[in-house]
Amino acid sequence: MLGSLQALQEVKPPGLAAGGDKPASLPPELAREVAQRLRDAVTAGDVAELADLAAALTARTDSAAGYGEEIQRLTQEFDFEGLLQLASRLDEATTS
Amino acid sequence: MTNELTSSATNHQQPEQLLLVDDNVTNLQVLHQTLDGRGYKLLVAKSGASALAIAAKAKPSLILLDIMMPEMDGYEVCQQLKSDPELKDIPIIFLSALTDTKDKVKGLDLGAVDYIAKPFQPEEVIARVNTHLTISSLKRDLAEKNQELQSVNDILEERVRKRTAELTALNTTYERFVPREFLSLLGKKSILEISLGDQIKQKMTVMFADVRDWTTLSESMSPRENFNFINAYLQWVSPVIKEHHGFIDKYLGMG
Repeated sequence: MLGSLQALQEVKPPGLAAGGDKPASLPPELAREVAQRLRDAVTAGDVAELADLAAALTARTDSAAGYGEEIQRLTQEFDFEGLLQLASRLDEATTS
Repeated sequence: MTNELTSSATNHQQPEQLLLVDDNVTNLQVLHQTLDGRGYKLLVAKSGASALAIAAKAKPSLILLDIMMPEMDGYEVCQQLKSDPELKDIPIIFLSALTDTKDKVKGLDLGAVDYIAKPFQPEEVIARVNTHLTISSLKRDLAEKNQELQSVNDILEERVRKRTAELTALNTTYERFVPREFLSLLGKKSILEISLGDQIKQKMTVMFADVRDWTTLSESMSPRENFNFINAYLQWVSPVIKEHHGFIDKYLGMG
């Protein structure tokens, strides 16, 4: 768990918990889905799908909003490598 | 997949997909901004290799392709796309800061439909994209219509072939009963050209000639004598028939 939290800390902004000292993580199911959609969209060069995903996450009131903003930023910069790294980190967080 | 996130894929009509290829993020952003919100689905590739992979999967309606890219330049991407039977018809517009005529010609020679020099005017890009999408769509329609026509033509040719075979068979059958000389007399090429109600004023004599007691007579003669008899008869009667523009229809015998 600590590993996954550390991994998520690298994601900016990771969505801090109420205490402010721990990065919030996504529920495993959601993290897996986000990671998969990120990979599919990057492979397809589908920026609209990336923007949709970012918007869907940003609209949430939980810790996912921070990931939405991060995906939005990376998409606007066409930083596909960064998006794939984020997907990998989300995967790692769900398996550790 | 849990589908916790709502999908926005509710559009029923598939928009035209445009693939934007450039290794420079700023260029991609400008190009994306230019074309975003105009009803296209925009796909983006930052290298030649990923452009080829995306094109193979998505088969976009049009590709805007930068020329100067590391590893695989736009010319090579274009060449590879044009050598793929499934992708060769996708219109490619080159985008480049290279303004030399030979660079433009090289791109067009490789099969690109157009060339836009950087820095570009957004209106020009939009106009050219629309023009080439229209041309491409018309080409597809034309190809489909040609295929439809070809199919109809194939069906018709098959029908004609069958009908011709039927008529040939009928002709062959009728010819056993109606001699060619008779048709020629009527000015017809085939018995099938004769229909009920044909009115041809023609005086005609039909002669039926019989050799009386031929059976008995022939039995009393050798085969050679039989032939000689018949030949002698024909030599006598044939000139008279010919003189009156007649013909011998057939010979009948008792066997």
